[in-house]
Amino acid sequence: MILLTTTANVIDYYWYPFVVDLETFIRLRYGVENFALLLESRKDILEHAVERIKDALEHGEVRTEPQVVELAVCGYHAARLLIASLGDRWLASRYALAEAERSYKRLQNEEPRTIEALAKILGVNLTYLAEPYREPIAIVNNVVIYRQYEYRIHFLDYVKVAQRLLGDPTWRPTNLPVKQGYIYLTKKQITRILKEAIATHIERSIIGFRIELAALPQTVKEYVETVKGLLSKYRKPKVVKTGGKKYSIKLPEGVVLVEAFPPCMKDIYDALLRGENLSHHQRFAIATFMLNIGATIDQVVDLFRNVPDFNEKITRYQVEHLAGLRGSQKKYLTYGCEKMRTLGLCRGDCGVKNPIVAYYKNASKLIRRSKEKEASS
Amino acid sequence: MELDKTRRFLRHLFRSYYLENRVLLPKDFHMREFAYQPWDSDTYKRHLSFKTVNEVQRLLSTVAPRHFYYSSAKYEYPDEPDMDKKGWLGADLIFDIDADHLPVCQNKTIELTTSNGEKIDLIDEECVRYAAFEALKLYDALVYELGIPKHNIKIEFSGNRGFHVTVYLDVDDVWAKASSVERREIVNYLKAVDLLDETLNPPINVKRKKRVMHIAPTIAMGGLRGRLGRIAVLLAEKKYGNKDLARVLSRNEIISWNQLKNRFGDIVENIFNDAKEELAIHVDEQVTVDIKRLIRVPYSLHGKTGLRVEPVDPQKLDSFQLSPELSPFQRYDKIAVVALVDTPPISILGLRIKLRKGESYRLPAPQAVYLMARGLVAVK
Repeated sequence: MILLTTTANVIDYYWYPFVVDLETFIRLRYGVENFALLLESRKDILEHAVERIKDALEHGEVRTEPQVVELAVCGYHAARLLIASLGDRWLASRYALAEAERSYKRLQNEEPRTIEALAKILGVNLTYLAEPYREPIAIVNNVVIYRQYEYRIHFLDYVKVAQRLLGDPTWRPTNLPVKQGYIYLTKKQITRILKEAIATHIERSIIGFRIELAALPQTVKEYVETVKGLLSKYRKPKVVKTGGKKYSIKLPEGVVLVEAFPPCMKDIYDALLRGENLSHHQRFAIATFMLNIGATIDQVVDLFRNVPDFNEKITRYQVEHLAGLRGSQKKYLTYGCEKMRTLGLCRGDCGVKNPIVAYYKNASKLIRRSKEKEASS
Repeated sequence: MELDKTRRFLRHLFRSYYLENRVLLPKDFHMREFAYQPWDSDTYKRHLSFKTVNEVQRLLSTVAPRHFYYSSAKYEYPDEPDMDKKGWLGADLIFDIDADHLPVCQNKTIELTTSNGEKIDLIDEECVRYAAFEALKLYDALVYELGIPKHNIKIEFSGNRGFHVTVYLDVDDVWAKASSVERREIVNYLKAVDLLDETLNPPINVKRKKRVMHIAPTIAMGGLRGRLGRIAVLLAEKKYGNKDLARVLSRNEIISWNQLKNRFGDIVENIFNDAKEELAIHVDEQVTVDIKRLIRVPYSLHGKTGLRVEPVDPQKLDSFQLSPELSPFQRYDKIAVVALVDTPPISILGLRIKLRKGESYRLPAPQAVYLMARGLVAVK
């Protein structure tokens, strides 16, 4: 194996292929610059990449065990390329988590220097403490018992990396030893945090992978199609639960079914198209509603073009604010039915608590009906 | 907007203050956006920037604004009106503690309607002391838990009914670069959101027959256990006046609950129960997560009270109280005013009064200015 970085003897690429810089690797190993061209003559790598993606879709964990390190490294990068070509955010995230799951298995048994080296590559600033930090727990038979923490991480690094875990109280800084700006963690906790960092790192590296689909060799394009097929087979449709009933529908981002709008939203929507001047509450309701059913910022801004006091810059700023891209970075929920009623905006009893649920309920009916029509014709 | 006589009078007083007094500016003030609200408008004049202290003082002594602010953020172009083009470089960590948001002060406000129909509430003046205790807890948490150097932390009385706590930061400090999302987690941590019982009382698994003694939190422990220990020390000393217990608790010795109770009795349990109630630090989330917030300039005047935004030494927080000394007009002659509304008995800067609409009063200047600024009386 070629040593690519000073960490090569500390980090086993077989388990952490994402640390390998692809360009450097293929240049040194194969003497080529273009990964896609290399893949044209290496169907074994593409086959292995598809295996990895299939594992991700099927098990949520990459399980396949290639014979050699080279195949693991190239297979991982080929999988990134295939997913990036498809441009599907959901798959990117699912795959990233599945790869992180695989690395995590090994990570739990690694030496401190490996953990530190990996963290550094992932941009996580943590320190192994040769002398662990000890928190006294109790006195047992006149001896003080301590809990030991071998690692520490800066408070801000922690909340950045652990963001997705914070919904669970045990991961909140509130319940951890915070001291002088650092959070102290056990080995078990630190590896779990790094798993998050790995998933985030991989997801970003897929999203940031710039690929021109047209320029890909034919062989590679065929594999992109294979992945597309796998995706439609495994991807679970979006399920909205309400009152025990499930409305399962699948709508890509940017697709909005106006026919499925509940009456309150349909009213506001029509008024907007007519160019009526709406109240603050009406504007807030329709904008948050649209954003929550998957409309893009542009779609929402466009909707407001007809209002008399339209100002693109201001509207965009406000819509971005509602979408959680600005200010407090909180995505706003739309008003519930109860609130709509008190504002005098409700137009009927939909039997739900939130206009969004009504939308999905209607949408799933619409889709079912159109499928039945298709089947009967 | 045509200014009425009262507002003209207030503006005149503010101007006389600014002619003789300087506001306190941080070293990097030239990187901050300044803003003010004049007396004759409800909108702010924003996106100002100053190169010298004299420019600032010139504005203050000519405009004599009703409210005066600078940004917690530092920018490449502080005077650029387009927020996206300002070039955000970093922001101080800021905390706002407002007495009327404290759970203990709920229902301790008196709601009044001013002459122009505006609803205002006056808070029980005692509540500012609770806010001061909150600021003290925050100061300790910032120092011991988040590792902020003491000299970076400044506390000010807000000029109304609470405190501002600012952590002044260089733009390249890691805390200065924290995003809103990260700042929200700082707030969640300070508020002890989702605190688990096992965090304060760690479970222990040992074989039977072994004698387990649970221990009291010490001030040196990490996280919320350490905070509990420190708050217990503060309460023992300031609320219960038990100096011995405070000394033992602040010694950072591992000591079992039993030992502690044997020596000091029931007070131990009372103090720790109280301390648990005090664990959450009630800061206003919206203020802290906003990385472009405008904050009042120290030693500027608050236009709704006529009081100075006054720096307070952390050691003196526990003796802080609302008094005429916070007003720069303390040495002025009494002022004749006419009440614009009826009020129940209220306490203004320690003076108990009850206003009858249309009646005249001669009041000490601090209270007269306060009531004028609030729109409850007019100058005669």
